Order: sequence, then structure tokens, then C-alpha cells
Amino acid sequence: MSNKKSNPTIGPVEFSVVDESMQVSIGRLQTNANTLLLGLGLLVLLATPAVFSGYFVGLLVVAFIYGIFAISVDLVWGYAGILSFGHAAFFGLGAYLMGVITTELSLPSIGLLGLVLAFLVPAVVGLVVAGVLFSRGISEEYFTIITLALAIVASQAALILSDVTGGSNGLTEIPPLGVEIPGVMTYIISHNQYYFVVLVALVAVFLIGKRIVQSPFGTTLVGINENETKISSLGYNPIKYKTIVFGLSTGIAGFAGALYAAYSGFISPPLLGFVLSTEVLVWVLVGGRGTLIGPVIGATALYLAENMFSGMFLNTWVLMLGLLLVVIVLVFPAGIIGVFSIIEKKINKYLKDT
Amino acid sequence: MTTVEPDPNTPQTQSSADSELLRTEELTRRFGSLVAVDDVNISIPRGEFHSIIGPNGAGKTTLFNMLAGTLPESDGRILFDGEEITGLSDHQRVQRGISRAYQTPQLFSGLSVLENLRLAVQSKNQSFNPIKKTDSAHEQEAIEMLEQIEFEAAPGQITENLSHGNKKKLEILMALSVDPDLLLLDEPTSGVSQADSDSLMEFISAASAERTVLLIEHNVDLVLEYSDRVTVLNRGAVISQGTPSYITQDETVQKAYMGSY
Amino acid sequence: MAELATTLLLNALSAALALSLVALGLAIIYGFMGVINLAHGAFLTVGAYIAWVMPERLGISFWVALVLAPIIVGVIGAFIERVVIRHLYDRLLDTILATWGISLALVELVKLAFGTTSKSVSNPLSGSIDLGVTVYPAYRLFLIGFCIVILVGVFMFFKSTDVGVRLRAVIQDPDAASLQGLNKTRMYQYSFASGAALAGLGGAAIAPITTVNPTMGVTYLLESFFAVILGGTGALIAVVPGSIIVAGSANIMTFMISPILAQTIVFVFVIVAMIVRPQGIVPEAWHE
Repeated sequence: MSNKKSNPTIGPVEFSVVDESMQVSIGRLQTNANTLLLGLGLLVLLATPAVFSGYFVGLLVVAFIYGIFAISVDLVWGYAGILSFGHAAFFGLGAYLMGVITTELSLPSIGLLGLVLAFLVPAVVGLVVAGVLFSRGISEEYFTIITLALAIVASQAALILSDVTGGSNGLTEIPPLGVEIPGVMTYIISHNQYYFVVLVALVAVFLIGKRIVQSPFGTTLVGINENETKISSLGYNPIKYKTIVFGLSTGIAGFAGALYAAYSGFISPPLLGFVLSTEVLVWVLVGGRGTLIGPVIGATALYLAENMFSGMFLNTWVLMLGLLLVVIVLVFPAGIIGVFSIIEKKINKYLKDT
Repeated sequence: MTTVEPDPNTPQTQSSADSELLRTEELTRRFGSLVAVDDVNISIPRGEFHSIIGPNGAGKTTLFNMLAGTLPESDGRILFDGEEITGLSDHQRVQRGISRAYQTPQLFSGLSVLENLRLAVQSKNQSFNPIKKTDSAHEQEAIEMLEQIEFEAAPGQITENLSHGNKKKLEILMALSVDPDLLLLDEPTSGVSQADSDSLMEFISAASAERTVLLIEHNVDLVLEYSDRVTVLNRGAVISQGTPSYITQDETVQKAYMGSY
Repeated sequence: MAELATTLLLNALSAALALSLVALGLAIIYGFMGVINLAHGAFLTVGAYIAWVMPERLGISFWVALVLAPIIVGVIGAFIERVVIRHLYDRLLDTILATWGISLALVELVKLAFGTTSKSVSNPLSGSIDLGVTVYPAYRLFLIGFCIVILVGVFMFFKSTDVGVRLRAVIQDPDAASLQGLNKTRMYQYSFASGAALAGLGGAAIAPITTVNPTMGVTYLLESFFAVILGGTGALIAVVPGSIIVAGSANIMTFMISPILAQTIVFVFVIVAMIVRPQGIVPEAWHE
């Protein structure tokens, strides 16, 4: 029964201020001001470890990993309009793959293999899940509910399969990432250096994401989100596109999970569950759907806020999160990127004048 | 089944089997007890400009939906270019060469005019490589499509804010951009001013010179002017078929349709 | 053996009927409004806490709480419909997000008010009844009867009253509301409120036979969804067979395997069933 309500039109959220000179669409960041801002931001981020405490840098590492996770969700939700309530299942799958492989096998450079597998396996699982469900004509809201169930089944499976996953105790002592060529060199990446590894990964995933959404494939996804019927009547098979982007997205989520496992050294079943699945939706929503950079900002800002002010609202953080979700959906569906676009327009005008 | 008396004036050269592009056999669509399209047999030769007329509720759009594959057939067969396409999905039929412009323009409202067209152009060479760059040839083709028609809006404009006339034009351009053999046009001039209607039909006629066109149109003057042949539907069934001059003389048509017109 | 089998069957029956109540609320909200209400589990939790706080803290009888719980939760539902849901009718996926936000907030409020520890509601009908084959707890027997009465009452409303018959037309064809001369705004508010009330009632009714804690709602939320989806959304009554499969089978399996494994098996089964039969297990003929 998918015909209960007509097409919900979610994302890609356009910059709310659109003038003809900008010619923006598909959330492209193609203006000078944006390049300038991104460049400046990167410089600041590269200098951060030299200025701030190890604690803060540690928070940033996790925040950036969540940023990658948020990009994976934005690809399916913000662009293709597929709402997944179970993306943490894939994040957690990547994390557990990394954890199990690196603790069970002692091969040189095993962590790197772990990263690759943590992308490939969740990607294949995502392709199968989405492929089967979409080709059976499951409606978008049912798909959402099934993904929620998936997250819960996944976290329960992690509890049940305690021989492999350590059950509710989780996996501990996951080794940090390193490069090892037997007899030649051994290099273990330190916690502080990991910051740069994750930063590079984030930038790379962001750039790949940009490339994806600007490709003909990406335009087709936006088309599917805007009007799936029309996309079909132009000769595209929406199921194929949705399946592929879902697999890509779950692969990236798994990759982020592996980065997380290698950093924290400890993973447990809640990592796969619906709480993290919800949180990532809030990050994407707050940052701005269909913008790629918005979700990164949302993830970073909210994760930092959660940890730095958790003393302030000790028990009320989730309450605030819930209310935030309602308020954003109600009054500000474009997220904070909506605010940025106004500033961006002003800077552009300034650049043009000078 | 109602037997329709054939129009003696139908040009015989076009009815030979190898030039036939579209054929429906006993095509039927039921909604519960309502028979929206009832046992329709039509045969459209390649290159023909064929119109479908009939009073409201005659089943014209339902017929289109079945031809385009957006509505499953209850009964009967559809043959396109000699092959059966019954049951194929809409996108598969587009790949075979059938494209369709909706009566209410179905645009990607958040995308620009050019991006809308590019999506249509690209569907011929689909790529599932998610990091492939936009083909400049496609971009160029989209620009050329746009230049064929008088279009007041900038190519970069988001289509949501286009005027109704421009939306209708873009809808037709998109249907043409997939380079179809058979173009299904559902009331291309509805809601368009008389002057614009004429120029729009002029454009359609020129742009589809090499194609086969199936047109639903309320404006009978336009239908009679441009069509090679006309099919008249009433209550889901074909009541008459023939050249424009034959149709205007047909008493059945006058009774069912022209009378109320 | 017969004794054990009867006990197991009655356990499964009471779980299935209680789930039917909750799932019916979800089906009403989805059927009339097209809204997927992720706050449904939270509504149930609030209902259960009302059934705990009134007798245990305020000295009000459990039976009064059982009557008040659906009313209070219904009012909360009406308020939420008014403030949030009403503004999102044309954004279906966004209602999923908003109701999830409401769910998080409600559960956190419950935690703030009563803490995170599990509560137990003392049995209002202590003692057991000898059924010949087996001796069965009195409250569970009451629960079975109570759920049947409520379910029959709701279905009678849709079957026999003029408004109910018109409402059923809406479930089969959402665009029919205006044809049926129904005031859409009011219908939506009543649907959401009564759906919420059923969740609250379900929560209060099961409170004495389960542990009451802030996160109890999530399981019921999912089980309700699966009951609705499995049964099919074309007819409200489909939630009953859906619930019997979801709650009944999980309940019987827990005799042999861990509850978590049982639940996982049921979830996986339902997902597979949805793939095989997306329209639900209930035949079309039931939709009348």
C-alpha cells in the first residue's frame, strides 16, 4: 500500500537562495566562496592537533569518522530519497569485520585488508538487501521500517553470536592501523597520527561523494528522488540505480565503521543498533540533506556538542536530540546549510564586486 | 467486439505488414467492473501522425498508459516493431523506442532546464559508473534540443518556476530527447494559448517528421489539420477510424462526439 | 504434557491479543492518515508507566489506571497531532522522522521522571484459576478476555456504525474521504488520538505481566509494525492474524530458545514474508 500519500518530496535540498547567476542545483559547491571556505577550513583542521589538547583531537577523530558515515547516509537519503533507519547495521558490520579480522588473524598489514573488506562486505550485503526489496516493489516507507528491523536484528545477532563477536562484552584490544612489510619495516599509526589518516579519508570520501552526485549517475538519482515515474518514462530503471547507490552507501558506512574500530580498539553491539542509526539521521538532517558537506558539519558539530556539553545536559541529551529532530523537520528542513547559503551569496557578491 | 467499418480512403501503401510500427490486439483495461479500454485494435504504420480523439472518459489516457507501460494490460496484446511488448515495464519500452509526454508536465522541479533535458538525452547511453563525468556531447545535445524551440527561460533556471507554456514545451522536448520511434503525446496544447498552440504543433510536426506520432488532443481543428489518420474512442471502444475527412463525415462520430462538441 | 501445551498456548494467545490491540492502533493511524507512527512504542511505554505509577505511587487502583491510561495517552496523541503531525501530511517520510523524534523525547521524559530501572506492577488479580487441563493465572485470563472485548468493540464500530463504515472506505481508498463527506482534519486528529489510546491501553494492560522500563516500547513498536505489515494494510482485522504469527510464534519459541533468538527469527521470517507477499498474508476477500 504505497499509495497512501503522494510523493513526499525530500531533498536534495536546494540552497534556499537561488539567483540566476549562481545556477545551482544538486547541491553543487561550485562557487569561489565555497572553495575558499573549504580551503580555509582544511588549513585550520590540519593545524588543529598542534593547537588543541589530545582529548579534543580524539573527539575530532571520532567526529570525522561519523562525518564519513553521515556522507554515506546523505548519498542515499539526500540524493536518492531512500530513508534508511538501519545504517548503523552496516557501520557496525564494518567495525566487527575489522575487529574480528585483526584480532583473529595475525598477518602483516592485516588492518589494510580489514579496511578493504569492511567496504566490500557491507556493500555486497547492501546491494543484496536493496536489490531484493526494491525489485519486489517494496514501498519506500516499508523499506524504511525494514532497515530499522535490520539494525535491531544486527545488534541482536551480535549478542547471539558471542563466539565471534564477544557477545555483550564486545571485542576489545583491536589493534591500531599499521603498515608492516615483514623484514623490511613495521609502522604502527599512533593515535595522534590517526587524526590525519581520518582527515584524509574524510576528504577523499567527500570528494568521491561530490564526484558521484555530479555524475550522470548522480543526476539520475536526483531525478528518481524528484519524480520516479518520470525517470522510468525516460527509460531509466530506478531499481538498478537505487540498488547501486545503496550498496555504495553501505560500503562507505562499513569503511567508516572499520576506521572507528581501529581507533577505539573496542566495539560492542549498540554500534549496530537503532540509536546510532537515528543519530546519523539527525546529523544529516541538521547539517542539510543533499549537500554532502552539511552532514559532515552536522556530525562534527553535534558529536562535539554531545561530548563537550554532556556535563551540562547530563541526562537530557537524547531529549534534546529528539526535540531537535522534530523542530528541524517542522521548521527548518534545509538544515544549517540553508543558513550558510545566505552567507555564501553575500561573499560571492563581495568577490564579484572586487 | 464492435466492427468498425474501414475507411476506404486509407492510403493502402502504408498498411503493408512490414511498415507497421504499433499494433494492439484486443487491448483491454478494466478497473473493477468498469471497462476503461474495451477490446481496442489499432494498427499504426511507421511514419504516421495518428490522433486519438473522444469525449472525456473515453479511455484515451488509459490507452496511453498501457501503451507506455505505466498501467498493466488487463487483456490483449501490444506489438511494437513486430515484437510483443505486452507486460514490459515502461523503461523497457522506452529502450525499445516508445516515449511519452504527459498531459501534466512531469519535470524534475529542483533541476535546471538543461539538467532535465540532459537526463533525457543521457538515457540512451546510461552509465552505472557512479564517478563518470558528464559527457560534454550529452550537454551539447541538450543545448541543441533547447535551441530548436522558442524558450523564454535561461537554461540554468530551475524548472519549478517555469511558466506553464514552457513546462509543456520542456515536457515535449524531453520526450523527443530520448529519440523515440513512436512518440505518445497527451494533450500537448492543453492550457496553452491559441497562438502558442499553433506554433507548438508546428514544432511537433517538424520535429517528428521522421517519427511516428500518436496524439491525444481536444482541439479538433489541430487534429484535423495535422493528422494522417484519426481514431475515435467512445466509452473505451473504437467507434471510428480513418482520415480526417472521413472522420468528419462519419455519422457515428458526429453522434457520439461532434454532437456534444 | 497437555498441561504444558495449554499453558504455552494461553501464553501465546495473551501475547498475541495484547499485541493485536497495540498493532490495531498503529494500523488505524497508518490506514487513515498514511502516517507511520514511530512514537507508537513510546505511547505504549507511557501507558505502562501510568499503570505503574498510579497504584504504586499515588494509591489509585490499577483498574482506574487501566481506564485512565488510554484517555491520557489519547490526549497526548491529539496534542501531538495538532502541534506536529498536522503540518507534515504532505511529507510522509518526514513524519517518520518527526514521530521518531517524539518517541525519543517521550522515552527520555519517562527516564527523567522515573529513572531507568525496571519497575514491576503488582498483580491486580492475584491467584490462579483451575481450567481442568491446567491452572492458569487469573490476570492473564482477564487479559485475554479484555483484549477480545476491546477488539470486538472496535471492529463492531467499523462494521455496524455509519461513521465506521464510511471510515472503512477510506482505508481501502485514501482519496475517498472527501467522497464520504468526512471532515479530514477531524478524522486525522481522532485517528491519531485513538491509535495512541490503543497503544496506551495495551501498555497498561500488559504492565502487570511484564517488566516496565523506558525502552520496553521499541520491541512492541517493531512487533506491531510486523503484525500490520504481515497481515496487510488493506483491512484492520488483518492485524489479528499478523499478531498471532509475530507474538504467538515468538512466545512459543521462547520455550525452547532464548527470547532474543526467537525474536530475531520472527523478524527475519517477517522480512522474508514481506518479500514473498508484499500485500500481506490476508486474502483480498477480507478487505470488505
